[in-house]
Amino acid sequence: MNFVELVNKVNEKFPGKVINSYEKFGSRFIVVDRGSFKDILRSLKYDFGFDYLVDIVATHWPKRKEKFDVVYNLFTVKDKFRIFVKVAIEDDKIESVVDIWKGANFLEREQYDLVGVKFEGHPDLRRILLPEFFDGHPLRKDYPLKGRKWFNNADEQNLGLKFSR
Amino acid sequence: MGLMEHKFSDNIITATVDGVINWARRSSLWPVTFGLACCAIEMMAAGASKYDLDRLGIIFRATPRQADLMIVAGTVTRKMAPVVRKVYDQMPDPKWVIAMGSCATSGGIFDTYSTVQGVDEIVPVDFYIPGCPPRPEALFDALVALQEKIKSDKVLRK
Repeated sequence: MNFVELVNKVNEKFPGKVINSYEKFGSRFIVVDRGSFKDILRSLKYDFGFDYLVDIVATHWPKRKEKFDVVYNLFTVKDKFRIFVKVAIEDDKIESVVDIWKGANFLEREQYDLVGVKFEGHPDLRRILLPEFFDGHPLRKDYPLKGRKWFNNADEQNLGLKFSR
Repeated sequence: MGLMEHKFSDNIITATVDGVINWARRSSLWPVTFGLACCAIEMMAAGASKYDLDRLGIIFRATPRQADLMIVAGTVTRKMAPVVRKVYDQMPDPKWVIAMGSCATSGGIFDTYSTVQGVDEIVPVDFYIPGCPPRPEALFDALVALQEKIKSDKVLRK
């Protein structure tokens, strides 16, 4: 598979919905439109063979109009070809892709936990790494690096633990 | 030995009860394995054939119920903290704790939202080993220092 060819084919199928595409750091990026990103992802899986969703990453841009980027790391097992699909969102909500790749379940939960992007339509959206009594989302740029106040939010095993530092 | 000389048969030696108990305790320190990060690799190296903890009578146990020493080797996160405390609570007395490496000692470089800043927030610590990670020699130094400490413990006379 060839990257330029792939982008042209996606552009043909979804005219005007591919905002940008470029190769950088040895990786291939496709920036797509917020409104039809899910149709493009579904097409990438069923028409272009991207059967493996490797990872979902959300990034926080507090000074930008679109506060979050959601990046889908897609891979074809057959052609061993990898692309990154980028979507910029203004608020913290985006549609879930669990109905396309079942493996998105835990990946979306992780991004919800750490960055706080809410994936609408996710079957079970709750924290996966941090405990339930954690406040906020630590990978947001405005989260304090040394925010350890939540340590004393709960004494989950009733051991009388108190943290002071 | 003036009074007791030649009062007992040849195969009897005399010592204080404290001395015997302390000798037994310090010669068979059984640590519970508590590897949480890369310090655990150095701890394993100390236990393996090149450094060989067995020659000090130190044998790793996989359960706190058979252990009298806990070597906390690695970064303790807030989520792991209750587990560390629970394992410590399950150890029978007398028990000791060694904080191995800068993470267990003070949080180390991880001055972040999730890391406990020193395992002494959770359990009482007897010895701190600096280093990132400390070499096996440093761990041995703490263990020998602990043995010296046990030597002067009082068992019967408080």
